[in-house]
Amino acid sequence: MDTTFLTSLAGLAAGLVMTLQVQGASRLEWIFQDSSPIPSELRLHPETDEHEANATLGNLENALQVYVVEEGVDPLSNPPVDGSYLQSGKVVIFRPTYPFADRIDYLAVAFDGVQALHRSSKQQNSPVACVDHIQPEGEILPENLLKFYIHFSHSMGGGDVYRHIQLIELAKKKVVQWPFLELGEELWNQDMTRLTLFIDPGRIKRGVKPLEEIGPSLEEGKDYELIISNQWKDAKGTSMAHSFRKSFRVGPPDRSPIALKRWTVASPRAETRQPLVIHFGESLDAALVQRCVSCLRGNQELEGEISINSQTTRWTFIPSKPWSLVEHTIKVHTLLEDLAGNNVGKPFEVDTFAPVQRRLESSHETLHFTPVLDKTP
Amino acid sequence: MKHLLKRTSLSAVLALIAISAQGAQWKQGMAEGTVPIKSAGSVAFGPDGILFVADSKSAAIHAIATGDVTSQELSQPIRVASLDRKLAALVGVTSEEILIQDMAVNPLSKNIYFSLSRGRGPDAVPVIARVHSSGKAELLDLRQVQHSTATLPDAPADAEVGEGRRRSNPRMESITDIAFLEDRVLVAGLANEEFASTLRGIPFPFREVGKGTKVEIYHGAHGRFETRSPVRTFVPFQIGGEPHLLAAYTCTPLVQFPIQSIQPGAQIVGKTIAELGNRNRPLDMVVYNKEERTYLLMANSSRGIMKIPANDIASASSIESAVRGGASEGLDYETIEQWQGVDQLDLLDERHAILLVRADNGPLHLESRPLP
Repeated sequence: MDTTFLTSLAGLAAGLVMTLQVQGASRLEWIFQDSSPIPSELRLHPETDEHEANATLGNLENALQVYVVEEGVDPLSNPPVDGSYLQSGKVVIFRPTYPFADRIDYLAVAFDGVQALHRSSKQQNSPVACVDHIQPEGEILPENLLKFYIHFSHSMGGGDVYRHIQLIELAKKKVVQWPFLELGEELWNQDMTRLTLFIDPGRIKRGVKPLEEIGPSLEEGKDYELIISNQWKDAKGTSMAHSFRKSFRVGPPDRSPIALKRWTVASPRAETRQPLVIHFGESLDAALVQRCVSCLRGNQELEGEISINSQTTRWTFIPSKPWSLVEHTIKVHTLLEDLAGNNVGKPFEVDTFAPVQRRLESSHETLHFTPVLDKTP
Repeated sequence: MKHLLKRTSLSAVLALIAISAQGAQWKQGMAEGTVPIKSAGSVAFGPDGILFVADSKSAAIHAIATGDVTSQELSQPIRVASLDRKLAALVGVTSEEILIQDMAVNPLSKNIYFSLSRGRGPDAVPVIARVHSSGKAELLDLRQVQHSTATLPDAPADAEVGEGRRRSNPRMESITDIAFLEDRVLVAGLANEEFASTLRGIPFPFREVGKGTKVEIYHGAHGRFETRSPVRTFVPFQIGGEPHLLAAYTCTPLVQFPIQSIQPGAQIVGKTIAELGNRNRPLDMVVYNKEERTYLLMANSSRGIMKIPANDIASASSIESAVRGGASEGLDYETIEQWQGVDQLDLLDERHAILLVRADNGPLHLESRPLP
């Protein structure tokens, strides 16, 4: 049989398609939509007429398959890409269940041995993501610190976060072993720009209870560095632009509950939109302080803008409407935590040696203030 | 003759109705269509081939009637090399682009199910795949399948928080483990802001919210004290015919709860049966019987695979005070040295476990092994 091999190069945006054309055999065609370099479907054009094609093809799944191509791996050692088949005339169309991906090569194989390789653009995006900041932002953190929040500039990729995070004790240049609570389901926010990192509560010094086996993650008086590696990939699969280091010293543990009576409230002037300012007297959990503190007039929560300073020691509220000359309430949910996880009125403890009680009620505490009248003439 | 036949067929029909009624009972409330799933995490099987999938992104549990109900016995060992690569190929990507989240064996068919995410960013797509004992892998079509969904309400402590003003970062919870127990799905979760871990029971079949569905919230307690430590994994098991629950917490001990104590709204008071030290990082737990003894097999990311004889749990003394000195107290355990790099562990049948093993940062292999 006379065979002619044709290699045709068809450049399409960033895509490159190669087909082996055997005379008398079927033809494979990658389809691209809207000038996208990633194919949306694959078509098989049998070289026989429709009637013969139907007889030959039989089960459409056997007519045509697509395989992922990976360096060093025989593509046919893996199952074919899952998808659906339909027939239009004698043409067989394959559409993958999940869209074909960027930066992956695919090999199409027809029933008669004809193959077509889709070679994708391997151009890597330049690194753009980085750690924006880590909370708490203070330079001195309590020995029984409960968590860090790592904020990123862009959506990140997950699944192996703990590999990219290291806590180093600086004096001995020692890496602290397993300081964090490692969960299969990581603790991200919705768009994966913030990761919550809990210090393993089993590694937090408890005061009276000694720790077994390995010591605490943090010890008073020592200096540490939290390092986030730039190898951590963003949501698009690109490494970060650079790594991030946070240095801090560990101070004494904080075992006191949050006490509202220690807060100072600077009452704003009535009939103005002067900010209401609350000083906590200590750093509080940056995320919870946004959810747990609100300002009410009567039963009505006021509309306005909240801002919190970087040390999370100060809460500022600018109302949408001017203050009226009545008593207002600051409502604080007792869920609020300080840096060591102490709540309002209750210190943090993982195991509470107390009679077990039902704790299904939600609770809050309140402070009151009345805007002041400006008496200056 | 005709008469006899009639009677026989009637009893056959009645028997058939009885069987299908029982099956139908579990599928109450299910509808055919696309599962509204946004993420696929922990998976566990219920009765009749019903697969439960934890969806942290939606704060929901989905029950999917897989239709995979034919009983099968294993005739040969299972070994699938580079399973992660094979599952990735099914969804059109390479193994770096997927994350295998959990594994569960259908006790009827012995087929092995995996939850995974295609992609690692916020737009990652949830996928459920099934591997037959022959090694053949395929996807579960989530677009046209019988299913029902239960949404997890916020724990009561959160009901008031964030009222009125829209929060930019709504409270999210990660579901760490789920299991089916008699008539409910148990769900262990951990919040991503406050240090609050929850253990809830959702009656199954799922009832619509608002029609009196009570989601029971349990507080883990051992002996005199209550722990806020998150439950990492739990498994139901029988002691002398009585149903119990074993729960592994993240930094405190292994606790056993009698099922009778799991009452709506109540504390489940458990007995601490093993203190495994503060390097305890449990991944999976299974309970099995061998030569008339009961054992607990725990995959632990820092201690390898531990085999703990559970026969004497009922009589084991409760550990109530802080453990000093020794690495573990209570029950003895044995480390299974040959079982290294275990990523996922589940029971395959009465005599075998199924493991997903990673060799030296390489690909993941799926294999069955006799229970130790």
